[in-house]
Amino acid sequence: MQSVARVSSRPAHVSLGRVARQGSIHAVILVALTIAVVPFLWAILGSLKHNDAIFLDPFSFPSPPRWDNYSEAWIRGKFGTYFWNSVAIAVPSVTLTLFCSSLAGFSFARLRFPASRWVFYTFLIGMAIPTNAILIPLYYTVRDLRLLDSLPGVIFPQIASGLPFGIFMMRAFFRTLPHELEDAARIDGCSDLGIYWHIMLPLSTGALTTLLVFVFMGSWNDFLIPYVFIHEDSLRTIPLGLLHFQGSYVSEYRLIFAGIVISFIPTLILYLVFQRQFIRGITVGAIRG
Amino acid sequence: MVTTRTHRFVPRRQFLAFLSAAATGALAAACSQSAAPATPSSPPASDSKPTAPTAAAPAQATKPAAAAPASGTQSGTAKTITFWNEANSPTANQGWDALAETFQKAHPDLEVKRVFQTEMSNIIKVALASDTGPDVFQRDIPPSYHQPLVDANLVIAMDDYYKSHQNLQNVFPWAKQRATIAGKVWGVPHEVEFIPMFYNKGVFEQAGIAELPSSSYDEFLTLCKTIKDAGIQPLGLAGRSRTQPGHLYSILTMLTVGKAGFEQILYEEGRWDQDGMVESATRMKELLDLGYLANDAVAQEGPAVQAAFAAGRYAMWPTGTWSMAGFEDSKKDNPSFEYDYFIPPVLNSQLQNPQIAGGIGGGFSISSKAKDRDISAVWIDFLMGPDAQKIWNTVFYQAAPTPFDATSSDLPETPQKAMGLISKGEEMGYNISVVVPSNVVEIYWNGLGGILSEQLTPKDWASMVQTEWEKAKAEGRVLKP
Amino acid sequence: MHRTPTASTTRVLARRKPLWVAINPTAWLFLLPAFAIYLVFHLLPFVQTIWLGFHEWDGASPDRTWVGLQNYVDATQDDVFWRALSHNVTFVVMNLALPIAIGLLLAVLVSNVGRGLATYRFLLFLPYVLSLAVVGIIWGRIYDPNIGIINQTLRAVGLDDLARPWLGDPSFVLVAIILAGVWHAFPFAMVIYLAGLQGIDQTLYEAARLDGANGVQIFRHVTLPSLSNVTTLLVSSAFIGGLTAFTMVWTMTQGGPFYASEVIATYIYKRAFEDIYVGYGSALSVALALLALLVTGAFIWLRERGD
Repeated sequence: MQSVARVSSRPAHVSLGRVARQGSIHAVILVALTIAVVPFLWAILGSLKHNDAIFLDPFSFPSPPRWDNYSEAWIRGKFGTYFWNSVAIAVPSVTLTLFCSSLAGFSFARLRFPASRWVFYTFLIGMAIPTNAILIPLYYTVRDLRLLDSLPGVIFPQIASGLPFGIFMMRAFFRTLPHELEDAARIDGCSDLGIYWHIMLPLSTGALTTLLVFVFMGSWNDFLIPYVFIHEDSLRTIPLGLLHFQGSYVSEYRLIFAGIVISFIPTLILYLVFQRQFIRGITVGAIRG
Repeated sequence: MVTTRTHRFVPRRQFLAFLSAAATGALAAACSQSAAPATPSSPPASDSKPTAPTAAAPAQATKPAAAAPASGTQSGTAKTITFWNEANSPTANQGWDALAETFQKAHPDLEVKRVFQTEMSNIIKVALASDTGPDVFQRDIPPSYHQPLVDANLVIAMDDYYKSHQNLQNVFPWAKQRATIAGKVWGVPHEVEFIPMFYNKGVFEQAGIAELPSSSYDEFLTLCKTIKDAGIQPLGLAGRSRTQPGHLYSILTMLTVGKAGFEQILYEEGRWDQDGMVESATRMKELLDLGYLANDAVAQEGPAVQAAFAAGRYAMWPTGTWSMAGFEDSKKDNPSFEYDYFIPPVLNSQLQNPQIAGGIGGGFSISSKAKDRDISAVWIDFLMGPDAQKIWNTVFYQAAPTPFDATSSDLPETPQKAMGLISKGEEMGYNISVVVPSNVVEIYWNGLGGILSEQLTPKDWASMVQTEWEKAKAEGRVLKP
Repeated sequence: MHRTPTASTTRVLARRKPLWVAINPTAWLFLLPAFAIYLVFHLLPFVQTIWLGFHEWDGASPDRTWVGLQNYVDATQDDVFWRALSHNVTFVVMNLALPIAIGLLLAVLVSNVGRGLATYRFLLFLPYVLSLAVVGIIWGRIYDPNIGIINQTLRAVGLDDLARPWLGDPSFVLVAIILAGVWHAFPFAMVIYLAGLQGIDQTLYEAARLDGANGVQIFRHVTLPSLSNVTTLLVSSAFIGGLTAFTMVWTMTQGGPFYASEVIATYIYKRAFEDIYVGYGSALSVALALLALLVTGAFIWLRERGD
C-alpha cells in the first residue's frame, strides 16, 4: 500500500498512462494480497475472542482481546506439550538429515568408489516414492522396532523421506566446489573425514542453511507420519493436537484458533529471519535442477 | 505412583542412546585433526533455533534420572498396570486424574501407567498381537469389536472375576450380556450412554410448545412443524463428523424396528435391507426434505452446531449424553441457555415407548498377555465401584452399569435426570455404530451422508450395508446365529 | 563439470593402492548412516508394499494368504477406487492450471512494481508458511455454512443464493478442497517464478526490444521459454501433489460426504488402518507409487531431452 502512494507521488515526467498501469498492477496484487492475508487475520482475531463471538459474530473485533486464550491453549489445551513435541521431533530430524545428507553428498561428489553411481540412483528412486505409498509396511516396521508411539518412530521415517532430496542437493553443491583446497589438504595428509570436516563443511554453511529451512518446514508441518505413528495424546505434535481438538464435541474453537496461531509462529519467525535462505530453500533445485 | 508420563520417556531414552551410538560411530572414523566433536549440522541449526536443542536435552537427561529413584522408593514392590484409555476432552482428563488418585489411595502398592490412545479401535488388535499393548484397555466391547480379539486369543474371559469381585457382581445383567460371546464374558461394560433428542428450553417456550411428544412419531413431526412455522430451524445435526448421521439414524431405527427388531439383525438372520431399516433411512431423509433438518446439516461441525444450539438457532439436536459436558460449558458463556431432552415416541405402533438408542459405550478388557491378570482385575473392579461411580457421574456425566443412587450427587438438572434414567438399570436399545464391525461402520456412516447429500437412495444404502454385513459374517467378525 | 581433476587424481592414487583402498571403505562409511535409515524406513517398506499387495492380511494375525493379483482385480471392480482416482485426476488438473497461472501472473506483476517488491513478496508468500493440516483446519472453518467467511460475505453483499454448504455439497466439496490447496500453493509458484524472472539475462529483453517486439511477444518468446525449467518443476510437483493428496482431504472432510471427496490416499488409509484390509490397501499403494514413479520418470526424461 505504501508503494501505491509512492507511485502516484512520483515526479511529473512519469506519464499518466504509466501511473494508471502501475495502479492497476497494484490493484491486482492487492486483491491477491487480501486473499492471502485475510485467513490469517481471521484466525488471529478468532484466537482473541470467546466461543460465542466466534460463532455468532465472526467479523467483530475482539473487545477486549482475550489473551488468556493463549495461556489456556498452552496449558489446558496442551498446546504447550504439542509444541515441544513438534520441537523434539523437528530438531533431531533436521540435525540428522543434514548430517547424513552432507556426509553422503560429500561421498558421492568427492570420493571414488565402485558402484557409486548405482548407489546414488538407489537414493534417487526414493524421491519419486511418495510416503503415502509405503505407509502400510512402514507402520509395521516401526511397530516391530517398538517405536510406535515414540518420537523416534516419527523422526526416522521423516529423515528417510527427506534424505533423497538432501543427498541430491548436497551432492550437487559439493560438486561445484573447487578442488585446489582439497588437493592441498590431501597432500598435507588429511584424511577424507578431515577434508569433509575442515574444508567442505565450513564452505557449505549456506547450502546447509538452505537445506535446513527446507527440512525444518517438512518436519514441522508434517501431518501424515505423526498421524499414523502417534496415538498417544502426550506425544502429539501441533497439527495432530489441532485435528483432535477439531474432532471433539466440546466447542473450544477459541483454543483451536490460538493453537493455529501457535503452530505458525515458529515457521513465521524462521521466515522473517531467514527470508532469503527460506526462499532459496524452497526454490533450490527448481532453478538449478 | 500413578503416572501418565513414564511411557513417553522410555522411547526418548532409547533414542538418545541410539543417537550417541551413531555419533560415536561417526567420530571414530574422524581424522586426528578433528578433535572438536560438535555435530556437523549444528552451526546452521543453532542459528535458527538456539533454544530448542538445549530445552529438549535437559528434559531427556533429567527426567529418566529423576524417575528412576522415584520408582525405586515408591514402588519397591509396587506392581504396575499399563492401562490404555481413549483420549478425550480436558474435562475427561481431569476425571481420569481423579479416578487414578482415588485408586492410588486405596491401593498404594499398585501403580497404574495410563496412556491416552486416540485411535484405539484402529490399533488395539495390532498392538495386542505384537505384544506392544497394554494390560488393561478401555474400548467398545460389543461382539463385533471383540470377536476378532477373542478369536485371536488376545483378551481373557472374565467370568471368574465377575464371581470373585464385589463390584463386578453388581453389573446389570443386560449390560453384562452385551459383553458375552459364546457363553463367556470378555470385558466389563462401564459406560452407559444414550442418544435422546436434546432441546433448547428457551426456544421451545418462544415457539409456544407446551407439551412434549409422548405417544406417536407424528406428534414429533407436528412439533417440528410448529417450530419451523415460528421461524426457527427445528433440528441441527453435525453431519460433517461421520458419526452424527449415524446417531440420528440409530434413534429412528429404534423407533421403527425397535430394540428387538435390531437384535434380529445383530444376533440372528435379520437383514439390513428389510423394510424397517430402509424406512428409518427414508424417515431421516424426510426430515431433511420437510426442511426440519437444516439443509446444510451435512456440512456442519459438532462445535458449531453446539454453539448454534446453545444460541437458539436450532431448537433440537439429536446427540449423545456425552454432549452434556459441552452443554454445561456453553452455559458458562451463555447463562440464558437451558436445555433438556426427551425420547422421541415410536413410529411403529406395535412398539412400546420408550425405545432408547443407547446402551453400552465402552468397556474394560484384560489382555491375555497382561503381566498380572489379578491386579488388572483389581483396577477394573475399582473402576466399577462406588467411589469411581461418583466420579463417572459428576465429571463425565456418565454412569457405570451398576446400581447407584443418582439423587445423591450434586449434578446440574439435566445430567441428573439422565443419571436417574440409567440408574434404574433397565435395558436400552442400541447406538448402531458401536455395535457393528468397522467395514460395516464405514459404509453405514458414509452412506447416511450419501443419503443426506442425495447421492444415494435409502434402498441402495441398505443393500450396500447388507453386503458388508455378509462379508463381516464370512470373516467371523459378527456373532453367528 | 568439475569432474576431470578428481577423476584423474584418484585414478592415479587408486592404481598404486591395494584392493581395500580401491573399494574405499571411508566412502562407504560416510554413506552408512544415510543408507541405513533410508533402507529401513523407505526402500524396504516400498519393496514390502509390493509384496503385501499380493496378500490378504488383516494386519494382526500371523498368517498372510497369498492371493496373487486378486487385490488388483478387486480394485478394478471397486467403484470407490475409481471414484477416488477420478478425484485425483481433478486434483492434478486444477493443481496444474491454477497455482501455476496465478503464480506466474503475480510474479510478473510483482516484478514490475519496483520498490514495494519485497513487501509484496513477503505478504503474498505467507500462506505457504502454514502446514497443509493447518490450512485444512482453517479452511474447514472458512467454508463452514454458518460461521465461515465465505457464506457470511456472500450474505453480506446480498448474494444469499450463492451461499451453500460447501463441504457438504457433493458437487462442490472437491473443488472447495482443491481451492484451499491453491491458496496454499500459489505463493510457492509465485516466489520461484520471481526468482526465475530475476535470473533471466537482461540482454535478451534488450535484443527483443531492438527487434521491435511488443510486451506480449517478449513475454511469449523470451520470458516464458526462460522459465521453462521452473514450469517443469511446478508441473511435476503439481502432478505428485495431486496424486498423493491426503492431508487437506483428511482434515476437511475425511473423503465425505459419501466419497464425494475421497482420494486414493485417504481410501488406502481407511482400508488399511481403519479397517483390516491391509493387502488391498497395499495393492492400491503400489498403484499410487507406480503412477508417481511414472510421472517423475516422464518429467526427468522430458527434461533430459529438452537439455
